[in-house]
Amino acid sequence: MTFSTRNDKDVVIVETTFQRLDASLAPALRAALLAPVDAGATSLVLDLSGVSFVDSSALGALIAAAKRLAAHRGFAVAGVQPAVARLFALTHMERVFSIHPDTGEAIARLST
Amino acid sequence: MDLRKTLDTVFGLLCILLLAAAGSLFALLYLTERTHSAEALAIAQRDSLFQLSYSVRAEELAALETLVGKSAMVQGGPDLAPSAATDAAISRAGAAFAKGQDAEVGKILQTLAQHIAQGRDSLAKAASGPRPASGATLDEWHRSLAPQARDFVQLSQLLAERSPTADSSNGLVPHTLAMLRGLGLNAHRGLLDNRILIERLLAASDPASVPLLFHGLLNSLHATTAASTGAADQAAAHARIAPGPATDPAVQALDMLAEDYAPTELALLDTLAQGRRPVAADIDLWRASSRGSLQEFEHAEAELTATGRDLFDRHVRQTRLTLGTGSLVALLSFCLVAFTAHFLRRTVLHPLDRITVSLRLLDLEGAAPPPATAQDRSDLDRLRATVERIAEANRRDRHRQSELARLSDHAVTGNRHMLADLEAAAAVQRGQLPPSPRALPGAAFHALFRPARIVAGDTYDCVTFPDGRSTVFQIDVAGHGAPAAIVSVAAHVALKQALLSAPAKEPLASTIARVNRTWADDLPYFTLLAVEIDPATASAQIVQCGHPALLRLPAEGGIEAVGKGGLPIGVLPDAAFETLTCPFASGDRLVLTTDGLSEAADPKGRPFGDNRLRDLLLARPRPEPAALFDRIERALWDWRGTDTPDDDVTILILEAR
Repeated sequence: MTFSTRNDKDVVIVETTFQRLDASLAPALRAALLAPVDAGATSLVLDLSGVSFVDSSALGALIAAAKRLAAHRGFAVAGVQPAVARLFALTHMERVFSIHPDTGEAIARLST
Repeated sequence: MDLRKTLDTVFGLLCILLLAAAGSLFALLYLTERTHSAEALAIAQRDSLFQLSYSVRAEELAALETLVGKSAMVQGGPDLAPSAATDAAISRAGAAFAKGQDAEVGKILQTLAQHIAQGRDSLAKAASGPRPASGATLDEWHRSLAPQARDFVQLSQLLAERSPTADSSNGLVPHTLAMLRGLGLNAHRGLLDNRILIERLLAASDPASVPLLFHGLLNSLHATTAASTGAADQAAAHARIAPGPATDPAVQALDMLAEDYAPTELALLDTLAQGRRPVAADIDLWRASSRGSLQEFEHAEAELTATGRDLFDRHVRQTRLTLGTGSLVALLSFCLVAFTAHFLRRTVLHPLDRITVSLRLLDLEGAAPPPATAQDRSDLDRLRATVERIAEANRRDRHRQSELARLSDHAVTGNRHMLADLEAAAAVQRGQLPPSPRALPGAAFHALFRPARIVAGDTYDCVTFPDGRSTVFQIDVAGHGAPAAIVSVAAHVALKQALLSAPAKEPLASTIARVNRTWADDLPYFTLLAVEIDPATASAQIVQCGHPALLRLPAEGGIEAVGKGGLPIGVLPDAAFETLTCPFASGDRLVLTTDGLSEAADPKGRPFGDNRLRDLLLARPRPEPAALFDRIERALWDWRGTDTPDDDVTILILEAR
């Protein structure tokens, strides 16, 4: 159970094996997302294809990453599952970061 | 260290010796006491027999003198005074031997008592006849004394067998005294026999009996002479080993026997041997001399008995004193030695040890001369290295311990302070909340608030405006506990200030947009649901900012979620917020919830969800809000399996009047 990153050209992809991202994981998620940004990354994709639940604290980490990359509109999420999609819809996150069916599309979108 | 060992050994041995001495002296004292009490009993028994012998003889003498008519005889019967003394002596002797559970002697004493009674019967018979009594009467009376004489012989044999028991612990002096007493008793017996036999000779009417009486007389004379000679030797021996007046009465009695009585008796016997009748004056002289001698022996016996008892008592006292003092001294010496040993160890040996240890440490630190061989040196180096390693480890350990203790103190203190702070913060936070229920213009407000920790990320409030409108808002800051609570309080204050200071008729969404714009970029976001009710229009304006949708329960039944979401506050500064409008007529209920309820997890992690709440809200007849809250709470605890929430749970109900 961990967070990991891989690069695809200029895009850093953050992946996780956790299925639930809640308050207990929010700081780790935040660190996993902001470390590449601190290292200079401008495009970041969080792969949520294996995540069935995200709570408001974990959402805070996503918002923080989005804010840091707001100038580049460089943060995207991919592979969003239904429950997570409902949270994003409720909170209008499509206005904060782009949401894609899979990482391939997200990378393609960010690379352009 | 050698000094210590030597001292320990010496003191240890000394202590053991002294303890052993005290113990054996105590044991000896105990044993001696037992011996002494046995001896005291034997002495009492022997003395009682002596006394009995002399009493019986006194009675015999009185009887004899009664019969020959020269003594003061109570008219009509024998003198009872001597017989009373005899009876007393028998019972005393019986008591003394009964104490020793001496059945043998007891039996002889009983027989003796019977024989004495027979003797008295015989005396009474003899005394009832003419007096002075005839030779035949005297002969008969004298023969009647033979059984009790045999009893005494038996007793004296028993006594002789037992004599080693009495006085055995007290050396030679009491022993010679006892011998002297025995010989005195024999001499006294011989004297009395002489007296009786001569009286019989004087009264003899049958010449044929004279030779027999002379023969008896020769025997008793022989016995008296042997006894008195022996007594004289014994008295002289005693005077040699224990000079003093102890034997004086005996010597006096023997002198009187030899110098006064013997010449008178010899003169009388001389006359009788020539077949002549002695003159009355000579007889009277002889009788007086005989009585005097017998009394002298009695007196000597009484004196010797007293002396023997004194000797024994003194011996017992002295033994007790010696042994008691000895054991006490040994015990005290033991205490003294033990204390000295202890004192020496404390004041001399311990400091010496410390000095020795210090010196050795100095050695280890290099002050010692180099060891003789390479092997020694490397051993010493290894030892030194080990000692240093241990010392270093100890230092580190001590440091770590004190550091841990300090940190622990710090944590405890900090925790206490933090707890106090949190309690204070919770009080502040609770103070922000409106009472429940609360009457608003045209509506009633009800709230259920269950924070997960002392302080909460959830908060809510009601603001009433002069024109009759009221705004109810509910805020949920992500997370819970102190960090969320701080943000929550800040959001509460910011929003309430914004509402209160809003220009008249400013749309709710505009006020909220203003709050969003001014919300510091580095603060966490929060979700918000704000409802403005206006009784005048019987409608509600709703602004939903990332918060679960408002649930509307019309009076006529059913439920609907109002709103499709919206951006939370603090995510995008320039965000615009949508306003929704819905009817809020009499009996309509509006329900605001945070996600703490729908996301509450059961033990398997499954969320409580929205449908359970909907079902509870739809219950008919509609429960009062307080009862409804009870049901919701019960359902929540049943779901959780515990009565603590995992996130703050807040439910607000607005009911239009």
